[in-house]
Amino acid sequence: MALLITIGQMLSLSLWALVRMRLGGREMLRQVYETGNRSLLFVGITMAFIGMIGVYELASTMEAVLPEYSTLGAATLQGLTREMGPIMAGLLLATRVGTGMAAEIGSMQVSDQVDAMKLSSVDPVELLVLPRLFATSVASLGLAAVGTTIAFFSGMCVAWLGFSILPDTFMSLRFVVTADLVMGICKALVFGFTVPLVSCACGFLATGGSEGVGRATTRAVVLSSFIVIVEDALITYIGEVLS
Amino acid sequence: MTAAHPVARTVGLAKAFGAHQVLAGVTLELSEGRCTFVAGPSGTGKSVLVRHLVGLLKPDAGEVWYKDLRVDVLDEEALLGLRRRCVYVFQHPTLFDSMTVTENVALVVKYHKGVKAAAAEGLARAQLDRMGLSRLAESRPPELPAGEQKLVSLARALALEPETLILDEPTTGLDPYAAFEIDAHVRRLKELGVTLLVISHDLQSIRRLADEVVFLFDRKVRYEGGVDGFFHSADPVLDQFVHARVEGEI
Ligand SMILES: Nc1ncnc2c1ncn2[C@@H]1O[C@H](COP(=O)(O)OP(=O)(O)OP(=O)(O)O)[C@@H](O)[C@H]1O
Ligand SMILES: [Mg+2]
Repeated sequence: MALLITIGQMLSLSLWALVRMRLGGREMLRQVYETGNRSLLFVGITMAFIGMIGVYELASTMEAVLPEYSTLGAATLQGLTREMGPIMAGLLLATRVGTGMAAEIGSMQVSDQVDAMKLSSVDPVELLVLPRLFATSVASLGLAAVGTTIAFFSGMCVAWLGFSILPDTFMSLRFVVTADLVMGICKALVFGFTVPLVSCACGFLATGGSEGVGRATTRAVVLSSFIVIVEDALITYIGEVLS
Repeated sequence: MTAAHPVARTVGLAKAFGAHQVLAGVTLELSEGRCTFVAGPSGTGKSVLVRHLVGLLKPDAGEVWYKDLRVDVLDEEALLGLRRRCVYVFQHPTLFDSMTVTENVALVVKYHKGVKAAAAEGLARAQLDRMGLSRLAESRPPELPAGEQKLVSLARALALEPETLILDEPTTGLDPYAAFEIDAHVRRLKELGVTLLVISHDLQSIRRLADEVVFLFDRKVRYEGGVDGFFHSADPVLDQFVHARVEGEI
């Protein structure tokens, strides 16, 4: 309950700060760079494996059901764009970046630094949350795109080496329509917004020394991953209804 | 001489965290231009008490006043004005680690006084200079020893030129020289007529600086009055505290 209230407060304060255009442009860019750059290698390697595993499984199934592979590449790309790219970016951001946010804000909270900001008339939401919301949303979009690309190419290698499907055949865009692209972008943006929102809220609610910071961090990763998955289901459903 | 006006006061303040009743009916007055020391054993709620004065905590019962302002019902926006006039310096240094000392002081000046970044930095440097801290201007707080962090925290508070200053254990954990340096600043503020509330266990500081002493014990105010009365009280609890005796209620 307290978490919901905190999230609500943070949202309204962030929007209010946005309306007043109190955005530190340089700080935002730095955050985008930090968030994206720090997660790039992690996302890249994970997505390479996801691509390989996914294509292997998909190709094995196709081999058994319809022994031809002409749609393998197109189906892979569609799945990655709509689903795997954004959700993996969201989940990896939750572990890689959300935990850091919860720990940082949590330790500022338990060491009175957040209270000190309030006394200094510095709005903690404006200073700590707003740049992270913006940065993680942008980074999530970028990471989903990069991750999708990497997974597609690693999958192509598996298809080529394991199933003798030529890259020419694999490299097909014919299943991916605008709706898939829109859905992928929506998901990436929503996840990129959810992770910092939930993680920062967990940080602000931390109490009781370093143990409390640890609890806040765990809570941040569990909750934000869970919410990301629920949102994924919701967005997929809404997308289906709309189209 | 008539009694000085109360600047800040609490009436019947009560506060509990869960089942833990920390304060129960604390009534306290800070007189204008006076230096009031609040003492009491660790964990009696001294910090909790003063946090109410600047609106960081809301009481379960009772009232908090600053001059004609009812503090405990104000929202964050309305508290800003109060927090510029009545400044609280935390027990533990709460400087922002990622900024230099100058930036720390300037940030507060910039937001509270609404001046441009460059002007705020000028004011910050001037304040550090007045306190003889210019050599620390470019350091980052984690690099500094405790005494210097406390001095910088004090500088950050004084840069706002507050009319009331609340210091939470400013000398605890410092070596005698660093403590003496802090006390010297407090003395200077007293001479300037700043209303002071100092939380401290430091009996030497109380002797040197206090006009009034408030002793908090077991959720309530146990003693309120002059310095002599505090040191020569017949109350066994005060006697135990002042003479650091092992046996007793504390
Ligand atoms: N935010 C909080 N949540 C729960 N309990 C708290 C909180 N703040 C303070 N307390 C409890 O209130 C009691 C009083 O704390 P407080 O910090 O005011 O003591 P103090 O008199 O300042 O002691 P010290 O001399 O050690 O600073 C302590 O038992 C503490 O655990
Ligand atoms: Mg204390």
